[in-house]
Amino acid sequence: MSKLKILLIIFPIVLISVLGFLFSFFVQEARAATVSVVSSNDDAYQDGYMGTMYLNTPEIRMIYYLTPDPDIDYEAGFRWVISIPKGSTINTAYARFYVYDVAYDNITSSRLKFQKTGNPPSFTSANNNITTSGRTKTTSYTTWSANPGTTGWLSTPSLVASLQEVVNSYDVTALVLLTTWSANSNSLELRVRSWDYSPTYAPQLVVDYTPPPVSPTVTTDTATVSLSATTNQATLKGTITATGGASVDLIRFVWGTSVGSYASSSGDISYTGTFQYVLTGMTPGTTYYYKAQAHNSAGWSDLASTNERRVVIYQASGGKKPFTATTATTTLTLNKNIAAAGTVISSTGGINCGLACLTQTSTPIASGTSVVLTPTAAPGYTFSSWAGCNSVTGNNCNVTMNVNKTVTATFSLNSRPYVSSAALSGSALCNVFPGGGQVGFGWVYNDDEGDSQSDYRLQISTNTTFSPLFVNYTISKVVASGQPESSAILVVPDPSSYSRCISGGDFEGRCVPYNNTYFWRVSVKAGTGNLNWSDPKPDPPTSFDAPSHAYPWTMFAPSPSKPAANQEVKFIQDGSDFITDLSLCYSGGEGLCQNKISTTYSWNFGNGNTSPYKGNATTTYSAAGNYNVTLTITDDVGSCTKTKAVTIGPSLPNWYEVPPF
Amino acid sequence: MALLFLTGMRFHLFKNMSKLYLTILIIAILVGMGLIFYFFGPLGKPKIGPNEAALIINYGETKRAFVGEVIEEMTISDALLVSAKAGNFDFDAEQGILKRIGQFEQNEKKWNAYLNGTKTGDSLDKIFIKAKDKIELKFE
Repeated sequence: MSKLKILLIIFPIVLISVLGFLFSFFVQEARAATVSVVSSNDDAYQDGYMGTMYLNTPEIRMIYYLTPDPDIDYEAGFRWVISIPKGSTINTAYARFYVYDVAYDNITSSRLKFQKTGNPPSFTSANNNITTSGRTKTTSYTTWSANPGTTGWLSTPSLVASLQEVVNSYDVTALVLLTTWSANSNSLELRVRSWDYSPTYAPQLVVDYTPPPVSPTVTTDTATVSLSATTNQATLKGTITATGGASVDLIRFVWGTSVGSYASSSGDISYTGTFQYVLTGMTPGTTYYYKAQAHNSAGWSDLASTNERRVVIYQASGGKKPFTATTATTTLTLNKNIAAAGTVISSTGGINCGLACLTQTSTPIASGTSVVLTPTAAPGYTFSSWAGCNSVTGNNCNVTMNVNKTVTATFSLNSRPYVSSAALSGSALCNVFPGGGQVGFGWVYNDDEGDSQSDYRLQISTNTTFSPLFVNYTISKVVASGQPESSAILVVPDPSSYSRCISGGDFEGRCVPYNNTYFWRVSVKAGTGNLNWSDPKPDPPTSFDAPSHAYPWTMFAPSPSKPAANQEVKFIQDGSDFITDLSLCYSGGEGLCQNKISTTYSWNFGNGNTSPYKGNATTTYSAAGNYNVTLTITDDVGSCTKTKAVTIGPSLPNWYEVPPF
Repeated sequence: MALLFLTGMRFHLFKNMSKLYLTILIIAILVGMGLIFYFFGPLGKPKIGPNEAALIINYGETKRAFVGEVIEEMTISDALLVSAKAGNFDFDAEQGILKRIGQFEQNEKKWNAYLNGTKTGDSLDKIFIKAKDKIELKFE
């Protein structure tokens, strides 16, 4: 084969490859996405007559029409979270639904429209939330007629027109597709699976789009001056680093004689592949600062983010002597390992890298300048180290800018908090309230970096694996490091029926039933920095015993409330004047202690008299004074004692009867 | 001998007393008896001592009254208690509310308490009394 033939074969291949490369370089890359409904409130349907919304059903009735009743029809809506920039070109768009019932499978002339907004809200249970006037639909729509015939995924026709109408006007962060029912159509029914049935079968949206072009980005290159130059000129140069998705049609250079000042311009120059401009008429010895710019259909490249160069020529005696152009300015790039971990500011160069900033490049800094970078850790983080500095003073980084430099600030997440001194803080099973007792827990919250507690979690189970949990109580409470914390639970016969234990009660979710041994543990969490839960303590978990039933409820009061000496005093239930003592015992079920055969009473009236009487006990005090009256009730789980001080007044005088008047 | 002497003296006096003196003596005796009935008998108002109070139980058709000393922090309930002891009757009260006195148990009629003519609205064991108070318990 001759060299000519080989050349004829290779040349087209090379040419096609080069053109393909250039095409891909100039054309914005298309992006494809398939997203599913991801929450119960993102797929819904409504009764078209009453307007009732259905959000939590395993099916979505997109079309549901039962002849001849015209009132039963439905409309459906689907919401997907997806980002599409405004101005993008929609190449492909369709939705997919999992049809599960083919008994009624004719879909005729159903209309599909997107809600015309860039961030439509999820659906709510409020009636007519799909067809409410707040959900303005696109003018464009897709007519859908189909006969699925079998269960499985069913794709809609193209939704490009409706979606394009949305994207033309909005930056999209979410989309809502609405099915519009036509009462005159002959459609029967279309029911598909919802997210509530299974995330696997949740409705999907498939989109392929091309983002809109952006302006190109360029770098300014070092100018050249010919060694043989006889005129005061230099060739300014630039490089297109990204076209922005559209062809570059123009270039230009701007310049001035001080840093950041570009009063002069080359004017727009058609771009043919060469990015340079010959600057003539330069004043020898004057420094020219310049930048390159490029243009496409989205506009000019950002001048502020383009690096600056400088060029100067000198004129030696006897002729013009060029000098090599040098970099006039340098840039300093700061990197952080965690954006939210802290801030960094520079003494010069404009670096002010906040909590949302992961990297930042300075404005041009004159070569030879010393820059100091100061880090400040955010709450919950600690500054750790620098990399790339010339020296470090304290936490500050010192950089001498003779070339472009990059430094990295490393912050570290604070350690997790921990619990110390976790222990039972005692139990009160007597006289807390009828039928119930209380168990307390105490611990100390600690955080080495001083982060305050935001939450604690108390867990109680009948085993050390903590499954199942009787109590899984999380509460938000701010506590400083080193401070003690405590919590308590109630022990009651039946937590599900006791008002203090159920929703709205002051011990909601913090009750356990009697007749068990329980293990407990507590974890804490900081509100800043490391947000992970601490290891639970005590470790291993410790236990406490709840007796087989509640302890006796021992309460009484004297009657009359202010008895006198030599007057019979009756001790009755506290808080009322009923004639029966209402002390409660729980052995063998709740009941009056006095009626329990196994229950014993022991009264000590404080006047030297005692009584085992089960019920209202009476005594008489011979002299005025203060007396302590004690009642102990004992059943088969234990004893509860109550002591009350009783004040006996002076003896009442003797009165006599007189004739009525 | 002495008895015979006195009898002889009285006979002698009556024999020599004029009709005028006899009339004056009879009137004086009647006035004295009237005063006794006025203060201590059914026609008179009983005297209440300086440190005493009175309690009247008005059953509707009949009444009973009691009088006695008042001590510090004495309540209407206490007064009823000491009156019951003096009058030998019993009563029931719940939370300071009078329910029954003797056979008179409240049903259609209620027991209401008045202190110096003003109806009380509180529990009887919370109302303190003082000297000269007049308590009336009315079944009405």
